[in-house]
Amino acid sequence: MRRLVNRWLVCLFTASGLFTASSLLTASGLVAAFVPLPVAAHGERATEPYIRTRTVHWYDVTWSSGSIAANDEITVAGKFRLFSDWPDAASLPDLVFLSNGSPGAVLTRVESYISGIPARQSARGLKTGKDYTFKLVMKGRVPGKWHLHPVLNVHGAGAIVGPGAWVEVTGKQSDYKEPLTTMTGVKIDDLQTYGVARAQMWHFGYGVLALLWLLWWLRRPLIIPRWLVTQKGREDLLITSTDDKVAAALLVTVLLVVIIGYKQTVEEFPNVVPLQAGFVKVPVPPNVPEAASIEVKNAEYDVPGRSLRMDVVITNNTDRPIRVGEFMTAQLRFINKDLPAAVESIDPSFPKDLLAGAGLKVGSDSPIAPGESRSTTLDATDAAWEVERLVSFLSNVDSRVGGLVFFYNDQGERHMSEISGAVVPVFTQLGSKVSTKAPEILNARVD
Amino acid sequence: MDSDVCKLRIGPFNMHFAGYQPKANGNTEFCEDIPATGNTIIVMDAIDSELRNIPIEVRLIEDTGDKSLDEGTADGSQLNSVTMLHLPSKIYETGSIPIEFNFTHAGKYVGLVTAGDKGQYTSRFPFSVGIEKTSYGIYVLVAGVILLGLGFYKYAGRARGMSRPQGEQG
Repeated sequence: MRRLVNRWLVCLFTASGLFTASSLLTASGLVAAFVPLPVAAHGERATEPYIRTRTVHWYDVTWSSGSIAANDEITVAGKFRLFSDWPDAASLPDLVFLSNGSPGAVLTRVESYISGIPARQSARGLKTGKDYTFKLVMKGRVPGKWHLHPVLNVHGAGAIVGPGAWVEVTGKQSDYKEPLTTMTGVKIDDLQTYGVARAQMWHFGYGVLALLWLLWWLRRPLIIPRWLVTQKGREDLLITSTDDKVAAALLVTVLLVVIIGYKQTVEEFPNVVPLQAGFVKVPVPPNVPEAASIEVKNAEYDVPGRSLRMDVVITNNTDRPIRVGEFMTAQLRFINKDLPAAVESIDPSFPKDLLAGAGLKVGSDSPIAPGESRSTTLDATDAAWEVERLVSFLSNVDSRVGGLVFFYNDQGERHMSEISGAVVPVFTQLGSKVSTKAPEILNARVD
Repeated sequence: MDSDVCKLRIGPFNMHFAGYQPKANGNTEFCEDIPATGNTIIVMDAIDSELRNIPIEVRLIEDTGDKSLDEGTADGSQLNSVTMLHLPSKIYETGSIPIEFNFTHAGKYVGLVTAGDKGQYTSRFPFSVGIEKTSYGIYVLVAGVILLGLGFYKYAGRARGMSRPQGEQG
């Protein structure tokens, strides 16, 4: 008797533990599902720096508006360069899919293009070292303020997120409609709700059958008595002939539901298009000679100064003098503020938090003559290196950094070149006075 | 930075705090506690861009336990007497505030950051230098593994005993 009581207690505790755990899981799931939690952004900073600095460089990205009404459209367009110094640890962009980054279906993607080709399917044929245009047409659905990025999903490398801008969707969610007329002329008022009742009917129907089947067995004595019966070798007592009949009836019912349901669905929808799993082929853009070649002689990241300093040799391959206007990596733009053409290149819709405050300091900033090779320094300093979590390239097995450098000639024409090289961390001395528990105030020198 | 544990809140804004001891630990980043005395670099980075446009003042003080220092009710001379380093109010366009300081003795310290034209936003971040904290995590893990093995051994022995026909020994 005592042993039996102990077993029941074990069962009780186990069941209560499982119930508590499942309740917590269910509760947390319900909270996640129904309680709107604030979303600041969606993890673009979590991507490894070697991916963000050396794979897809998005540039000239614009957002057609910062605020749209629900059911209105917004266009995100621009270009991306598939970096030549693509890291070995990431798969090459042989198979890609262009999409958007936003917190759930708050905006819906209605059109997408790579180099003018509809990109609703995955795309092949893209090559590193080449530039491609892209366009995303999005439609506002859920009112709120959302961070909207272009995203290139590279098979084997993951989602490579472009710059994000805040877009406000105003109005009511009920304003959003997605009407459609199918190839056979069937008019669908709103794709959001099309077929939902049918899906719910099937789920609910099968749920009822499953519940009845469970209840059929749960009404009996459960674990311990059945275990005792099996211990005594009398399994034959556990399943009755009525159980056999119920099981057979349920089997027949389920199979009939499947067969009749299939027949009715086929009759109602005789023409169906299978889910498309193919891809589009994007033509390779023609070779464009590099306007300026850049050789990195030395690159170091000053950890306390939050500064990437590069010693470079720039060779002007054009027939006009050029100046360095911008260094861009991982969506961060370091603008040479002494060059008006570079400052004017900033589109008003571009996110301000991706523009480095101090800009780019160019050691020798005078125009580089045609054919001239100039040794100079590029100094990109900003807290964004840390805030954007870009400095873990210092602890990678492949400590390299890459980006794009934009040049402007005397006529304001822009040229672009890639820059990449190994980078080492350094700690510059800030020169503050050393204190030995000094009672007086010490004014430290700060870079 | 969204789940950054080294985050300072200054009024409505956020900053990231990092400490380095390059000679002792390379470019390893510390958050709240600096492991050893010696030359230390502390960098605070503006997470919110608004902090780049307002003046920021920084003080490193000894943690004397005086609450008036934390609450900002202490007078100037009282604050100065425990101040070890002071960066006057200034706008940091790059968003970074680097500080280099040589901590010669272990102890508890406090960083006081004041931001805004009128110094309306203040943040206090306590940290320790050279105070070792014993980590019991590894011991708990080892004890857990041993207990698990013992439990399994006991359970297995009991289950084997129950499965034997009555009267069988050994």
